[in-house]
Amino acid sequence: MQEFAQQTLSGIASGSLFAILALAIVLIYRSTSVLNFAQGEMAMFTTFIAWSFMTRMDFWLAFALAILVSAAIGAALERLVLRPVEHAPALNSVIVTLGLFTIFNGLALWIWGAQPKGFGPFSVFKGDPICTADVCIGRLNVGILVVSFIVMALLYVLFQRTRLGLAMRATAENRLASQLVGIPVGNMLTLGWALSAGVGAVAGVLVAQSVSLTTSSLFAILLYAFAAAVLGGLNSPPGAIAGGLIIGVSKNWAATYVPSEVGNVDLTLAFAMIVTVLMIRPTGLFGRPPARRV
Amino acid sequence: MTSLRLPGIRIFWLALLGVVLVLFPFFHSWPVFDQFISEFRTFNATMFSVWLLVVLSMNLLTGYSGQISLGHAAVVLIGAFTTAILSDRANIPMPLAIALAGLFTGLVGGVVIGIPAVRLSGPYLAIATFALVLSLPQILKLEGLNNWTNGALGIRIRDLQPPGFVDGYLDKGEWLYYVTMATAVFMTIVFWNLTHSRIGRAFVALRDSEIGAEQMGVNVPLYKALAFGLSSFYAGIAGGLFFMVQAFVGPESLGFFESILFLVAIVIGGLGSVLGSIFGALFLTFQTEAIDRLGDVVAEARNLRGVIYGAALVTTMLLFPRGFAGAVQALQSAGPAGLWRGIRDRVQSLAELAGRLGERQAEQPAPPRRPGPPDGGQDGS
Repeated sequence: MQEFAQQTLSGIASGSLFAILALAIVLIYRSTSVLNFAQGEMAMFTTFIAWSFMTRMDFWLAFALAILVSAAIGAALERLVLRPVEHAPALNSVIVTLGLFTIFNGLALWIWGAQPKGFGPFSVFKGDPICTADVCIGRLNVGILVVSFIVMALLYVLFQRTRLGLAMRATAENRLASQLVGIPVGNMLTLGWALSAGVGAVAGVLVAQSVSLTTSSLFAILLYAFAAAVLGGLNSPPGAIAGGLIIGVSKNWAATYVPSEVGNVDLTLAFAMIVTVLMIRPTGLFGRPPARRV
Repeated sequence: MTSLRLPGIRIFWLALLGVVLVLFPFFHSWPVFDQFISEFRTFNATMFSVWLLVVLSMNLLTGYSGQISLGHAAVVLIGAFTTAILSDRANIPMPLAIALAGLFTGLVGGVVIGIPAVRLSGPYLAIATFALVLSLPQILKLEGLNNWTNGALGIRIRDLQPPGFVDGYLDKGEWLYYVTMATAVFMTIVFWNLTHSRIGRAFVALRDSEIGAEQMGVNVPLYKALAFGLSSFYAGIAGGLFFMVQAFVGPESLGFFESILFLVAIVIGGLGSVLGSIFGALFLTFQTEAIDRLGDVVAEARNLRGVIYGAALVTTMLLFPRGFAGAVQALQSAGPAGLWRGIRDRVQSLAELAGRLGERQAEQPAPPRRPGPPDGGQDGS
């Protein structure tokens, strides 16, 4: 029982990393209907920026600056490379984000090299694991979960309680109608990318403290984050967090309880579960099915 | 599809293409030609045929039927492993093994992926296929399957010789070239006919509007499963040829990275056309070499591989939104001047976007940049 509780808690810990990046993916999908494959690399890139700020200033200040820089990069990308493909087939924007993926990866490799950088844990995230009874969880993982919930709550307030959020939701729902009622649709899309890149930077700086900072450190996590976002439902921020935690926990259970003679099947079981869930709820656990129209 | 028709290109060019394809392995030994064609190009051309089948298969699924797959490499890998197991473990002759692998992969694709695909669409389907490509290596390495798949070591062709009747005429590489090229040409002609048949039109209807297709009497679940089945059949044959040409297949031979490359190839080449698939296969064949060559010229390019690659992708999408096949179509319909005008317009609107980047324009909604029907609905949301 004690082992089960500990494995579950470790699963939650690794799931928290998937959850926060999934949140950024959901945010961009919700506001622009683009699946951004470059999300992880953009987050990695801004984490490197934060790392180079950190030699000169305090962690929290560098963190805040990195978020701002990241948001600016996100907004510029939307304006420069995504808007021109807006009217092209939907797959084109996917290819553009794949192109951005290799650009950011290549740039980071060129500027900062392939050597892993020591990165944190910093400030409140540092210290002994938090233990109750006989199970423990890392301080950083608790911190990531807390930040995820704060980000989710802020997004909820933004989307459901402000005029700006209403305009963003309207833009995602029906672009032409939003334009007709006077919403500056273009600016809403730019804002969506800026917000999502900002959340991505938060995710990057937090996740890198747990996996050390290299140019490839966020890629594996991004893959799970995608799965988490889809499992939870691509338009639901709480779904992203739930999806991340479910994947983390189920992957850990599979790794612990499937006998090693069978082979390594943690991924397979986690994904089999995702596909099963999708078969029953085709738009994810918390996703709202889109209206079907011609 | 009453009878097999040839694509409607002028017969002269088709004949010329045929002659070139037949003589290609010998070019490197001819004077003049040997200046720019080395023997290695025969291998390139062999791989091109394999990639062409992969790209056609992916295009059938995504370009024609509108089903996005992030796991297509897994389907090709299933074909390769089936061929390997049949030929290596069951001693079935290679051509028969490849054909059986194609049928088996088609069945797996139609049932195991096609049936879930009936309920899923868009990104949700993409993740289901993505699940397949990440899980397949683990499945292939399961202890229980080790007797068949040979676990992480993979399967190597022990001894594959060209049949006796080509002895003295063709070496092994040339024989492989003819087998794969002939298969690719034949299957391309079948593909062209298929996509211009009732089935192909149903796929396109499905892509353009699922509800619309349903209203017109297309059996949507059936045709979705059929799209996956047919596409997987092509992928299975391609996988078999891949195994034969590479003489090896392992659980990691084709993975997520290749799946993404296949997706890039169909979009860069041009969605929903045979010509686009040919461009896509050329891209897959030469993409690494092109960047290496650039590195020979500009030393810095070596360190910036990823950046150049990504910039090329983004630029292609910005300048040729319908891929290279789209550019060729523009060339045919509007001439070089028309193609150039299109590119110039896009560059101009890009420059305009860049110029406006700093300005505030929150006061009024941006007017639609291009005349034409405004984009009302959006995809998927």
